[in-house]
Amino acid sequence: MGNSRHLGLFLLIPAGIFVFLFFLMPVVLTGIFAFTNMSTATGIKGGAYMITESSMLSMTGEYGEDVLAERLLQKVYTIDEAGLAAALESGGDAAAIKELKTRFLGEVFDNRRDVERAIKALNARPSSTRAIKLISANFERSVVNVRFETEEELLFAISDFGISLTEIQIEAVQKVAYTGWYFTTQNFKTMISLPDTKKTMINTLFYVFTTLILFNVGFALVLSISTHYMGTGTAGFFRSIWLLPRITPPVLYVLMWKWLAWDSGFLAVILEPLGFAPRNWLLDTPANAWTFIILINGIVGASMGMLIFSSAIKAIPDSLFHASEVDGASRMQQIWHIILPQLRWPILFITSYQTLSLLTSFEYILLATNGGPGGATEVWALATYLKALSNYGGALQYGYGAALSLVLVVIGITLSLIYLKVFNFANMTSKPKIE
Amino acid sequence: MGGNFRKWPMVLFLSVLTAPLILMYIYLFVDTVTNTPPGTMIPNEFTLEHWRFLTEIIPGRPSIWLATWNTFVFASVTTLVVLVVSSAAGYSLSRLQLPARSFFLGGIMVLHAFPTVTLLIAIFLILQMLGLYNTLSVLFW
Repeated sequence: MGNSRHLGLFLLIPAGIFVFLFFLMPVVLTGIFAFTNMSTATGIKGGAYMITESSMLSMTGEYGEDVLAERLLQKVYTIDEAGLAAALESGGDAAAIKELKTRFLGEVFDNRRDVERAIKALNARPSSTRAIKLISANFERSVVNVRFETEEELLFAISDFGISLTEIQIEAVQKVAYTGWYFTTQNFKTMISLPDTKKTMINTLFYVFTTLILFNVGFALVLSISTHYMGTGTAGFFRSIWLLPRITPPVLYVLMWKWLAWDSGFLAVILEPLGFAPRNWLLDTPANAWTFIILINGIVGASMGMLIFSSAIKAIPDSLFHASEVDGASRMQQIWHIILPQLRWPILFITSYQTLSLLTSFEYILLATNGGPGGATEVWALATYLKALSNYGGALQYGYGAALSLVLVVIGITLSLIYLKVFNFANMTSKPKIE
Repeated sequence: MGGNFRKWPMVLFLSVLTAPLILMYIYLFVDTVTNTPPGTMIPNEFTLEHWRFLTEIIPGRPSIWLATWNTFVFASVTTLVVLVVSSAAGYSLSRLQLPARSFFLGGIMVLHAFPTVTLLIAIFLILQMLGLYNTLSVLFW
């Protein structure tokens, strides 16, 4: 007994490693990413510190430090040893540089013109304007657009630049100059404030429950019950036809629907003599788009229910049907009083399992309408994908995408826990009888 | 099955529902070997030009046989890994008395709720950490 326990755990190890690497760790990481502002701009690894035009804009906007912002963006011209050495190196007039050093060392000018005026006033002034410019260029000092790897380097450069910062200003500079990602709850605030979020949520609920009721359960029941009343061969034929969409590659399957729907496609050609102008039926109105989305997903989804229900109907003892026929039951009565009650658990199972599938599925919508027309068919999972991994408005927002998917994960876990309760899962997982 | 009820009404009913799907798949095949003028659905000539990728390399595209080989390797290795890993786990879950067995079984259902694609960023990072990024073996998981 103890032996088999060890063996069982040992056999679970490979699956455990896979689940850990590709499910548990990603989920934890997604949870962490959701509270960051990670995007293409910030990168995934840590960032650096930089004073830029845009970071100074947020300095003014968020901290009201407009004087400091202006000061940090300024260029100043300092006559210092480093500048003099560089001027000499770049081929500047040696005598002029020497005189500049003795008369102006340590002096700071606000703009280049002042520096050049000072050089022109020298006794050993260079002969040409070009030579003056050659010298003056070396004294330009600025912290703008310089990449500092650590915040110490940045603060050192700023104080070297001649600006002393207060405690509050240091904090502000650190915040705005940092180019990497940091922790924030901004994602969730954005999510709540955007009107798109509510619309996407309503779309998702509509999509999931309409597809589920009409097709994944409803049409699956129609298929399994109607094939039940046929010969075995005919039933097998119809079932394999309805399985085709599931085994067709999604790209090809959606392409077939596009052929059907686009403006020179099947529908347009058929309907043109009836007075309908050719148009892209898939994308012309939200209602049409939804019709197709639900058909496309529903026909794939119905096959799973069909298989489960068909085998459940097969498991109903024949004697029940025979007895009811002796009693004169009609087909409808058989369906209502024998088949449907026996299918209660399969229906519950398909409902719960397919809710979760539909909630996270978006590939058919992505291929068919890509959320169009105008975001009318954008569901939550698709929005997540577009935000995080597809080039949506320029940058990929990993952080925001992760926050969106975290919402989906929370809904999914909640729903599945409820379903486990409904199913009374503990009873279903009875102890194995073979040891 | 189906007792003494007539079968044809059900067959007719389902045939009507299934016809569009069958038509779609037939048309999919017919379209690969014919050309159709615009404005109609009826093809007017037979052609094999859409299948030419089998015998020649189309400029700008990789050879179809390379893609075939990749698909074959990918499919067989994935099958092998999944078969070994999941049959081991499945056997121990269904036949052996494990501690926390119903936790594992419930976990299978809960795992289903995770949107795999949105975990992609994280999975990508993990693969990069493992040093598997940009190798064929990545695709096997």
